[in-house]
Parts: sequence; C-alpha cells; structure tokens
Amino acid sequence: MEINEFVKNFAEQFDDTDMSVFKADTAFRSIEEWSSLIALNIISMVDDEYNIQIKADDIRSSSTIEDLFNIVKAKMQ
Amino acid sequence: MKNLILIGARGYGRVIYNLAISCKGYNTEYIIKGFLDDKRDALDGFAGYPPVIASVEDYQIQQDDVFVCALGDVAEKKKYSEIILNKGGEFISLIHPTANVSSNSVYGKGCLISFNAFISADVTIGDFVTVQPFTMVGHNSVVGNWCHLDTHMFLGGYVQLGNEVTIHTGAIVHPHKKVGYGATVGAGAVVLRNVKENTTVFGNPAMRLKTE
Repeated sequence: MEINEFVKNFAEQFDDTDMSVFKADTAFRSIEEWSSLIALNIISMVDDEYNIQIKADDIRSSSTIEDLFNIVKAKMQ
Repeated sequence: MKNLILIGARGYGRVIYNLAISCKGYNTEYIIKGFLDDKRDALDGFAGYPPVIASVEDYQIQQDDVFVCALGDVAEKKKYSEIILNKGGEFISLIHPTANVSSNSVYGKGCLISFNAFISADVTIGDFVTVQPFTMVGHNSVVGNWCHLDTHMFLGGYVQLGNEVTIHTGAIVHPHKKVGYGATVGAGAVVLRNVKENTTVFGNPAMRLKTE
C-alpha cells in the first residue's frame, strides 16, 4: 500500500472539493465538504480497495489522511 | 405505415408488445407485424399475440420494417439488436403516454420507456436504453447506450451511467455518482460511491461483490 494512492482513493470520495486540496498531511475534518456520509464512504472504500475493515473510531482518532493510512497499514500486518 | 417487429417473444417480449399497443404511434405510425425468436413455439399457450415470424438470424428485412428489442439482459439486447442493425434494420423508440420526459431531456433510438417512468429535466439518454415502469431519472443525468433501468430504481441529479450499465429493481444512485461501463447495481442497493466499470455492487451502502 502506498500513501499517494491512498490519498487519491480518499479524495475520490468527495464530489465538490478540488483534488489539489488532498495531501498526506491534510486535516480532512476541516474540509468544508466533510460529512458523516463521506466518513461512511471512506470505510467502504478501505474495505473495497484494501480488504481491511476500519471503524468510525479509527476515523475519529485520525486527524490527517496519513494518520488513517497508518491505521489501515497496521491492520494489514 | 411501418411494420413494427419485436425481437424476443418471451416474457419481456409480451410486456413490450403491450407497451407498443399503448403508445400513440400504434395504428397511426405502425402496426405490429410479429416477433423474432428462435423458439418458434414461444407464444404457444398465450392468446392474442401476433406470430413469431422467424429467428433474428434468419429474418430478411422488408421495406417499412422497424424494430424494437424486447430482451431484458443488456448483453443479449446488444447482441440481437446488432444482428438487425448489421442487416440495415431501423430501430424506433417506444414511449408510454404516461411516461414523463421533462424539458430538454433527450433519448436516442431503440429506447423503451415504460409507463409512469419519470425522466427529469435536462437528461441525456443514449440509444437502446430500457427504462422500466416507475423509475425516476434525476435532472442532468446522463445514461449511456444499452443501459437497463429496472422498476422503481432512482437516479439522483447529475448521475452518470456509462454504456451497458444495469441498475436492478429498487436501487438508488446518489446524486453526482458515476457508474462505469458494464457495471451492475444489485436490487435495492444504495450507491453512495462511484462504481467502477465491469463491477457489481450490492447492499446499503453498496459494496463491490468480490470475485475471489
């Protein structure tokens, strides 16, 4: 698993936010479009793309995209 | 007067026969000549239908023939329609009088738009698209060629469907979502994320059915 690909997959769950906003150190909750529905879509994306089940708590405890990436990566091992 | 020929005399063929006799073109623009089906006894035991004339493969196109393809499966619909297209056959679209096609919305040839379908404003529907009863297609949506939209499905505004997409009964596609070429959305699925081409999604929220 690679961080840039994870950031891209993360960004694709947003409809209205410009792709350039999304970086590894982006604090995703501060993005205006962020919502509980997008949180659900992130969980579903991680399951689909990485075959890893994360919980709402994993998202809650992450502040940047990279934080979540590290949680997913840890679950892969 | 044109002679309308329906491809497929099975269950869906009989359904589309009823659509054809309900449209305002019936007996004014076309009469119904019969069905094409390789199962010549497909209508045995069913009263009141025009005959099965020949198989799609064997039929020789006559002057004033026009066609619709009454096959529910996207791949079969494409296969048999293309046999007739390759012989130079002309397809028409059938729009039930109770279907609502709103302002600036357009559809191509060979479409079947059934009763109480609601096509909202500024929608673009391609060729050979099947729109079943009680469907809702949201404003500014784009529906590719050969798609099949089953009964009670809903597309939100600005949804984009690629070619050869099947949306099964009662599925919901959220606004702005894209469903890629050849994808299938299962019955009752709630699509919250884009669907990749040639995949099948199911459930709420809709998840990809994995093949491994």
